[in-house]
Amino acid sequence: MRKIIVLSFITLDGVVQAPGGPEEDTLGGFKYGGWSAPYFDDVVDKVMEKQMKPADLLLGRKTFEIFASYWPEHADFWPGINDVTKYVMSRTMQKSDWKNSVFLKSLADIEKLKESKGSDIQVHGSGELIQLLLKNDLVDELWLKIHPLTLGQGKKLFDKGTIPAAFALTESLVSPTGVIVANYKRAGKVKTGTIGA
Amino acid sequence: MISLDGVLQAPGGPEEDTAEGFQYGGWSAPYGDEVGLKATKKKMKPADLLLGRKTFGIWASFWPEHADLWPGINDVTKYVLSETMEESDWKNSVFLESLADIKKLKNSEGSDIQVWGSSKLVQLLLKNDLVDELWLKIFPLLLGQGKKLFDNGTIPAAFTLTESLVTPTGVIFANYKRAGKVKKGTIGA
Repeated sequence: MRKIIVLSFITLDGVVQAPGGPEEDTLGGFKYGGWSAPYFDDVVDKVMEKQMKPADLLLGRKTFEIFASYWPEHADFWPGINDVTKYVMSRTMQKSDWKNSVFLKSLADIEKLKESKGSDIQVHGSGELIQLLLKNDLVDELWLKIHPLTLGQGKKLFDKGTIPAAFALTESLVSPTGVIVANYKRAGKVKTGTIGA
Repeated sequence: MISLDGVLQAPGGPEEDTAEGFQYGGWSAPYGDEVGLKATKKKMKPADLLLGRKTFGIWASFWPEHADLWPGINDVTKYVLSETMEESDWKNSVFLESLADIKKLKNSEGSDIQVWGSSKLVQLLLKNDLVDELWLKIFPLLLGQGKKLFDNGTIPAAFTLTESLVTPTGVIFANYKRAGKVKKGTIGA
């Protein structure tokens, strides 16, 4: 079985839309594209370098299109990105010029992929796809970079698909600009109790 | 206390706040440990409180008899924002009626003012940029339902992380203070 790992830059209020630049995703009239850039320091850079080691990717259609128009020409910044398999969940798209792109049509396809042999599978961006994964409890790990700001608008990581689920914090680190790097893995059901009881 | 998806409803126990049929009351309890307790106690130093009506109601029925767990809680002033409530048996309770009252309070002399729980009030404060610091405890779970800390009132705002700590059970304590407007850029540019 392959693990599905969701990597996200996220604000304190859970927004994940367009962290990297103003043009990345302006859907819904989003005006704060590029909000993560001022916090990008050596520590975040190093963590990203470590986490972006070659692994197959699972992407939503929109994120795939953004990636496909950028990464083929910039693979020196993400070694191996052209060689790994890009699994794309899309009802409409069936092919791409970007090599090693494979198109999936349904949740069943994702489940089959997860059961197959191979590297862990990373999910970047892909807000809608993540809702589907969360809703069906297919996320094994969350690798978050929690940025010190609120936006009050934009696509959220934990939206309609979120189900009650406990996690264990496996790694954490604070960058000089105040980004909290926190990796979580799934850890069963939510438990409750009474404080002080 | 918030979950990874920003829920703050009823962290302490099943009966704390069951509004909207919330079934996960007491979700923070399994993560209690020595480190968390110590950090929380440090924050519970006597300071005046600003509370919403519901949180005040829960507190007024508990703390007067349990002040040994929170020294000074009966002596500090409890400012309560409520359109309906005007008095309470809990000593040093003061009732506020409007945003203007809160602004006046903020501009007055005295201790810093702590807000606990009070999700609706927090929305009002965030919306009007009246929050100077956020002292968050981020718990390692998702709930997918319940009242949220950052809801309709949230505005774009930058913060600075001033203090952070991770407990053995995986709770992240993170203190932030307001730091001007949101800035943008392009990664790698």
